[in-house]
Amino acid sequence: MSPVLSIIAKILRVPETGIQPDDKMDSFGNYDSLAFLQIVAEMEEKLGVSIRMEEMKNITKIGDFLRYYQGADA
Amino acid sequence: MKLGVLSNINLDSLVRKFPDAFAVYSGEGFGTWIPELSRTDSGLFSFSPEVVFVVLDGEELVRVAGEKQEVMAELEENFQYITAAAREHPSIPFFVSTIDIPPSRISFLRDERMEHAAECHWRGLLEKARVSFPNVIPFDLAQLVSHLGRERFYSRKLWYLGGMKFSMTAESLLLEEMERCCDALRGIRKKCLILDLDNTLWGGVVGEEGVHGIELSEFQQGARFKDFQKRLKEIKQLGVLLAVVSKNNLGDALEVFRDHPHMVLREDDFTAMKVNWNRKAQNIRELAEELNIGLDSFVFLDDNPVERGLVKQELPEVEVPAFPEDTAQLQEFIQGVYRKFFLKIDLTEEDTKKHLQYRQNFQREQAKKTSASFEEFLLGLQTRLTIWEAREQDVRRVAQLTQKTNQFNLTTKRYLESEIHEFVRAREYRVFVGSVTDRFGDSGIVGVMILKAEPGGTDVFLDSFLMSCRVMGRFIEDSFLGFVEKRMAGEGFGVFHAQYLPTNKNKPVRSLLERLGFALVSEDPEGRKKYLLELGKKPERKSFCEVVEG
Repeated sequence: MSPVLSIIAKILRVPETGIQPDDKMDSFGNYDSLAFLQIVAEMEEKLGVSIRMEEMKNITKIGDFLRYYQGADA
Repeated sequence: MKLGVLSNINLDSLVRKFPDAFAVYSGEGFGTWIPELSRTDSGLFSFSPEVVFVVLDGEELVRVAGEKQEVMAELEENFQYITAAAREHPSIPFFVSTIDIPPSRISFLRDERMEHAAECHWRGLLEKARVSFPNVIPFDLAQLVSHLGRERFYSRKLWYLGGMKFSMTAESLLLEEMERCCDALRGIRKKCLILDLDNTLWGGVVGEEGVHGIELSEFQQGARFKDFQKRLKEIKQLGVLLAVVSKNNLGDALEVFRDHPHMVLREDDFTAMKVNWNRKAQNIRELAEELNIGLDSFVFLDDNPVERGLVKQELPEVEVPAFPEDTAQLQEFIQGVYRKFFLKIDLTEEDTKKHLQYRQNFQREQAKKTSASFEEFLLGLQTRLTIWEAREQDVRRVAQLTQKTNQFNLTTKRYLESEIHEFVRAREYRVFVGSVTDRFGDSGIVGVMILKAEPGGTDVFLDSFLMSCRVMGRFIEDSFLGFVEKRMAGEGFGVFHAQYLPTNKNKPVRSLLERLGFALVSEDPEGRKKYLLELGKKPERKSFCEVVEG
C-alpha cells in the first residue's frame, strides 16, 4: 500500500482498500478544500513531497497525488 | 467535554482532529475571537463551554506595524478582551497562549527587535492575569514552537492557501497538549511512580560494582542519572508518590541511598520500598494493598524490557512506558512521563503533604497490629475532626477530592473548581469540609459533603459525600454526618434525602447509608439506591473522635 493512500484514506476517513487511483477527489463525501490542504501538508511533512502552488489546480484524482510520490521516489 | 477553541487564524484543521469525546466550538468564521469573547450572548458562551482555549498567532496579532508604543498598546487592548472574559465568566477556565513572532521583517543588525519585545510584553500581561484570575491558565504555545522549531511548526504554504499557519506536525503536538490540559483540568492522573534501581536510578549494578562503582555524578556520564533523579524529586514535590520495586539486596540499595554523595533521592523521598527477590508484579500488588490505591494508579519504570513485559502481562492496569534505549534521553523521557501521566494545573497544600500522610498511614497500620482491639486502636489514635463550611481557599482541595475519590464516594460526581466556586457562593448549596488530625499527624481536608437545601425549606438533598481513602474505616463518617445533621436540624430542616450511585470502585460504601440508619426508599435494576432519614428520629451516632467546629 502506498503511504500516499494511507494519508489520503485517513484524512477522508475511508478504508485504504476503498480508494483507487482513478477515483475523483470530489466523489468522497469528506473531501473539501480543507481535506485537500491536509493531504498536501501531510505529504510534504511525512513523505518529503512538495506540490508547488502553481500545480495544485491540476489535482482532481487520487492518482494525481500518487504521481508526485512516485516522481519523488524515482 | 465541551471546549471552545478561539484563534485569530484558521484552526479548522486542528478542530477537525479532536476525538469524538470532545465537542468543540471554534467560532463563526475566523478572526471573530474578540466578539466571541466579549459578548455574553456570543456563540461561544451560548455553547456553554467547560473550558476555553485562546490560541493566538503572534505575527497576526501585531500585524499593524508601527511605533513600539503603538504595538504594545495594541497588545494590551487585545489582552484586555481576555481578562474581561475571564472576569465575566469566573467558572470557565481559560487557557491563554503565549505568542511567538518569527522576525520576518528585513532589518539591519543593530535594528530594534520589536518581535521580542512584543512576545515579552504579552508574557508579562499573561503573568499578571495568571496572578489575578484563578481561571486564567497560561498555554505555552511559544514553548511548543521552540520545541519543534519554527521551520517545522509553521507552513507558509498552508497560510497562503487557507489562512492556516500550523503544520500538520504542529497540529498533532497542539492537540496532544490540549488534551493533556483537559485531563489535568479534570484531575485525570496517576498517583504513584514506581522505580527500579540498577540502570534506572543509577548506571550499573550496585551488587556487582559497589556503591562507589555505580555511575552517578554531577558532570559527565553519571550526570544523566543525576539529572533524572533531580526531575524525579521535582515530581515528588508535586505530590506524586514515589516507590521502589527492585531486585536487589536491601543492604546494597540502602548503602547507596545513605552514602552516595550524588544521590538526589534519599530513603525518605519514597513512600514505600520493595527491595527483594520476589516477582515485581507481586511486589506491586502488595504496594497497591498497603498504600490503598488502585493498580490503575501506578506507573512503572524499569530499564529491563523483560521485567516491563512481565508486569504488563500480569498487571495490565499498570502503565509501563518504554524506557529510553539511549540513557542520554533520560531527562526528556521523565519530563514526558510527567506530562503524560501526572500533569496538574495547580499545586495544593495537600499535594505537598501527601507523601508524609501515606507514610503516616503505614505507621497507623503498625499501631493497629499491636492494639488489643479495634476500638482500643481507634481511641488510641486520638483523632480530632474539624468541620466547617467551605471557604474560597478550600475550593481547590474540594474539587480535587471530588475528582480523585473513588472508593468512599456515594455519588462520584466530579466537579471542576469553577463548579465548587458556584456551590460555595450559591444560597441553596452547602459545602461542608472535614479535616482530620491524630497522634501520627495531620491528614488535612479529607472529607466533603455537598448538600442542596433551599433556605427556609424542610428537605435536604445529599449531593455528594466522600472521604479520602486515607481515613477510611475509622468511623469518621459517623461523626461527620452527625455534625451536619445536627446543624441542619437546628436550621429547621426535617428530612434528609440521600442516594448511592454505584460505580466499579465505590463498593465500600454500598451499604453505608443503611449502616448509618437511613431508610431505603427505592433501588433500581442498576443498583442506584434512594434513601430517607427523618432528622427528628436520627439514631445516636457513636464517635471515636473529638469533633470541633472550625
